Amino acid sequence: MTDRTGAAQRVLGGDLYTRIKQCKLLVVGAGGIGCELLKNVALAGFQDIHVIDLDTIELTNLNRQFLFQQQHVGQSKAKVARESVLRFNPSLSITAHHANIFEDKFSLGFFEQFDLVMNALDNLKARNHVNRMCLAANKPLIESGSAGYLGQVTVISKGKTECYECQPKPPPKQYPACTIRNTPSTIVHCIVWAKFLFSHLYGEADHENDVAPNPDDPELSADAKDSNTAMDEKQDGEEKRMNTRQWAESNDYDPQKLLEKLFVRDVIVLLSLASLWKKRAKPRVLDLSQINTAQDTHAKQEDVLPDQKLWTVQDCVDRFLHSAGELKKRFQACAPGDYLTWDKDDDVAMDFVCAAANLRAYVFGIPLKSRFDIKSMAGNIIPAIATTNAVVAGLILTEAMKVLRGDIDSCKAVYLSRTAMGAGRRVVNPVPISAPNPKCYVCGERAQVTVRLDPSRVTVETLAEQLLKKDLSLVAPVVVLASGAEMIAAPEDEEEEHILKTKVYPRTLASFGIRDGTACSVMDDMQANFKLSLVFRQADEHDPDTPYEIVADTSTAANNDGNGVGDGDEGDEAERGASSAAAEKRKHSPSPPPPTTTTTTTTQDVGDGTTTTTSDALADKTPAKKSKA
Amino acid sequence: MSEDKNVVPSQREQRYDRQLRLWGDHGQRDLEAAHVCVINATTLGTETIKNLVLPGIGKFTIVDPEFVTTEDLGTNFFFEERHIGQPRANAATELLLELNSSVEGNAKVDTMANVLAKDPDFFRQFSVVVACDTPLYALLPLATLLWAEQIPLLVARAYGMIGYLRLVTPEHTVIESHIAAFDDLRLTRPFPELLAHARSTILDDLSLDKHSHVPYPILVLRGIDAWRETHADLPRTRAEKKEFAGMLASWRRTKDDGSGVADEENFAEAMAKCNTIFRSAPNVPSEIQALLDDPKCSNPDKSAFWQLCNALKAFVSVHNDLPLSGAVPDMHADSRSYVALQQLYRSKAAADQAFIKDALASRLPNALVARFCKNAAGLVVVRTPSLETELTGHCGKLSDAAAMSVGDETRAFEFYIALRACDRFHEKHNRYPGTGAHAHEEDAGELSSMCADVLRNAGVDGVTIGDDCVKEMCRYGAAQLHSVAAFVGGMTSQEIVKLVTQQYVPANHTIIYNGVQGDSRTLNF
Repeated sequence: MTDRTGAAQRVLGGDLYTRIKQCKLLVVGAGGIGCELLKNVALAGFQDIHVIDLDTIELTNLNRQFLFQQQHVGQSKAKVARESVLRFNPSLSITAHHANIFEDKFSLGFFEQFDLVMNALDNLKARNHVNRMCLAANKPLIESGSAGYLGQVTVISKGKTECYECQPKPPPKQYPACTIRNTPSTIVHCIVWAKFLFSHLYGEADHENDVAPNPDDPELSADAKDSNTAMDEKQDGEEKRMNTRQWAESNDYDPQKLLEKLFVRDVIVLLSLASLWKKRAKPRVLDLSQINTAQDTHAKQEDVLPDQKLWTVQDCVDRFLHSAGELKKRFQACAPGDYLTWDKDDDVAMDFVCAAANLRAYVFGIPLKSRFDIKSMAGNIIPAIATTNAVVAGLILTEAMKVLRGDIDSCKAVYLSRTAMGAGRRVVNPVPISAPNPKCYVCGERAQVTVRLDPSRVTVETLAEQLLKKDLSLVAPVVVLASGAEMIAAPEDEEEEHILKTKVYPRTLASFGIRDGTACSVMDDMQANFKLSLVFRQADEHDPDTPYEIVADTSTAANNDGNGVGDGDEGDEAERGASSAAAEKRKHSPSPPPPTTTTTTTTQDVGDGTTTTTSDALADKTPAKKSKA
Repeated sequence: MSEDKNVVPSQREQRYDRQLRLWGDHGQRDLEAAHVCVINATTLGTETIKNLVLPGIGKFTIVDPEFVTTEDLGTNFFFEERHIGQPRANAATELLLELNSSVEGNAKVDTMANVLAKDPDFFRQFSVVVACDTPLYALLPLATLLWAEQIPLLVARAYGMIGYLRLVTPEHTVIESHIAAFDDLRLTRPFPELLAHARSTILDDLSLDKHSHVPYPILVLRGIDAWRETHADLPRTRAEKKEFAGMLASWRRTKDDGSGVADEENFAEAMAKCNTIFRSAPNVPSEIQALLDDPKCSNPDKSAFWQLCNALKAFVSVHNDLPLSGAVPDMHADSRSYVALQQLYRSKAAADQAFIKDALASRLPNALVARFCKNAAGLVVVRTPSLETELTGHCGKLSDAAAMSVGDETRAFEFYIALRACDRFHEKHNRYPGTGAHAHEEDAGELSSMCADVLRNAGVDGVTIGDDCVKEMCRYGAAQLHSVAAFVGGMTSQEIVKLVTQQYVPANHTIIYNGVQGDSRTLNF
């Protein structure tokens, strides 16, 4: 009992200790919870551990991700985490994958080699995917999340507990494109616009995702002709035909010109759409000659960090010009086809969004916000601290022991309370895990989704990109008609993908014979054993803003059970949609959700609650062929 | 404007970005000014320090007489093979400091008792002292000293599958409790400037655009004026609140084209808020009144908190109300009228702050006075029994705790008593039950009767500690499991952050964690 494992053997008992030793373990994520977890599993006696993470280490990670130090900034999280743990115990077998969980190599066969999987993820999409892979491979999964002082841990075991998707998650809040482009009324609208502006100017060329005044605003329909005429008068012919990206290209991305276009000329165009301003306060044109008095400084700003100071309008103009100049240099230095991606921790990119959002707020009479606050909203930042992650990772081990003892029935969904005041209050709050939802379209026996739409107006693209990939989290959807023909096939190579996108995507569903009552099978080429039946119902009318409605999903009941969100890391909600043509097709703009978490009361006697954010962070940080801004 | 420090966040801000969003820059400064003493670099000790070094605690000092063994390597991440035979305090300090170069760390290779005997002042330098995996009886002299100095002591233990955390402090005061409060808009008792501003708004004279952007507090105040024409009292019952909301609804305009009622979001907002606006609650919440009635409030010590409470008492006696927070939530309004409203609340809040400042016996920083006023509705004082009372006194409330825990599946109370009995065993035999050459069955009988002794001495009748609990404690043999230590270390460091930042409310006072179930209970006796 004097070797290094003496204590664990003694407390756990020899039998459990042996099971831990023989367990092949997969840890998905080496961030906030992941670092703590890797340490805990190494010290609990796990000998064969795989870890996957596609991220690299950033400065803002170091306040909690203790396997990383200053000198590791920029390196692979998975690899450095492995090295740090091995330094402590060189005899362990740790395999690090610096890769995206969605890559082909993480196939069903890959998952099948493990005995237990632990998630330490920061986004819904990856959580859904690992959930489906573990169900397919029939491997137990321990799911976890943290946000500030709140956190949670739960266990998913096929057929015994509910799966990660048995209860629908609240969808991310979205804003109509017209609100973003024409009539913002909150700072959030301005931030969404500023992030769109960034991607539109410097991101992947995407000529449909414009930020300029939109003449197709439904509010204008009554006097549409008038407004088009009005717009004609304010724009010369050339400017009218170009979107903002093309305009910027033809003006060599000149920061001063860009400033004038966005905050002077486009505002004049908006003002010409008179019917928008009948019930609203009119925007004001940014008058560059009048703003250098510091009229916007608010109450005294002593005792705040530089980042928390409110910029004056003049500061915003200066910052805009400076950051737009920097971005111009970077963008023009990109190889052909390369582009910039927005990153909240890149100071120049953040300055640009902060300045542009505040200038837009100024134009629309919306109170300005500090860079600190805008960063929270734009980056969907979830506060994250070492202490919470340590507690969560400790709880994961407790549940892992129960799983390895074969005692799934005693596993609990554990929520972390923020405070434990007074007698009887709990620091942790375990509740029984619900049974599987028989109607769940992921793990249910007869998985079915019914969608109401107009098949003569909705395209295959909307079905594939929006409904299947975005709403139902499929990775490589395959849709088979009742006849056995494949309407959507998973492309094997670039040529097939090209054919799918150019020949199949533009077609309407009706052209494939889909009408009221048609059912087809949906599978996922990347998620083995995933299968559901999709039933179409005819919609009475077609609204381009919401081209379809999911009528009988798993369950339509609102659910506050909470699904911990961050991993003490944070994702970037808007990155995903800002460059997505599909999002614009639907006339919806994904928005950065409020950074706060809401606390809801569970049915337990102690109501400190569970965490749920208005939207999960969907970090689509695909590393392929993008150069960071 | 150049690339100056006023705009771009510093390295420090970036490193701590995710936590500044929880406790603010002033919380971070408090953390950076704190010096924490950790007695024993056990796994629990190093995990606790790790969670403090990462967010940037100012200084830590480890007091530990032991040397690194092979078994330590099996549970403690902060030792490497090369450290075997070296003092634990030195090895741990070396590796923990790698995590954050702005933190200072010291090691003292000695027992806590020796240090205390040689230099009692040593412990007076700390903001908080954490004793890890030490029996309670051995802590009494230190606890007495810290109690007199009003330095909080945390006693933390990871004992097999059981975790234990106890806060010992005569008093801990919290200004920013972060307890969610209702918006403080004073609509049922408006200050004169607010009322005058509301009355200057003639709704009928406004264009539809302006009318639909009047901030909801103004609508409610105008509503109350109208209500009072026919009612003696404010709406209190459900029906009255509904009637009030109905009255506001009737004030909405018809659309310009006459096609029905205009969609005025500000009115919808006002109607939705009726329930909370007219809830019956005293101007000064009972918890705050209790603070004002505390003897320390009338005769404050040198602490800023009680000085401020003393000034608050003077304020309440004049205004029969707390200082206004000054915060105005987001609402549907055009920016001109929103800013006008915000100005009113801000100047009233500033006037209230000025009153408090004038009423103070000694000068305190403006920012502190402002924070105090802003959070006056959520002030908290935490007082725990002393360790001496717990160990030697007949504690009546312990019987209550026993009665409350009947049927508790975590068996927190039983494990608490069993842990006390383990200490008693340790005091007698200088080893924990189940350790050394002794088979644990052998020690179980003695431990069981010691449990009965602990209960009897504390005056708790009619309770017995289950044999299975006793046997479990013997089986653990005080061995430390990493995952339990990691959990308790997380909890302990969280409480330390709360204590040194004086933000959020620490647990009062004993937490027992059952690592088999993954559940915990707070005992307060």
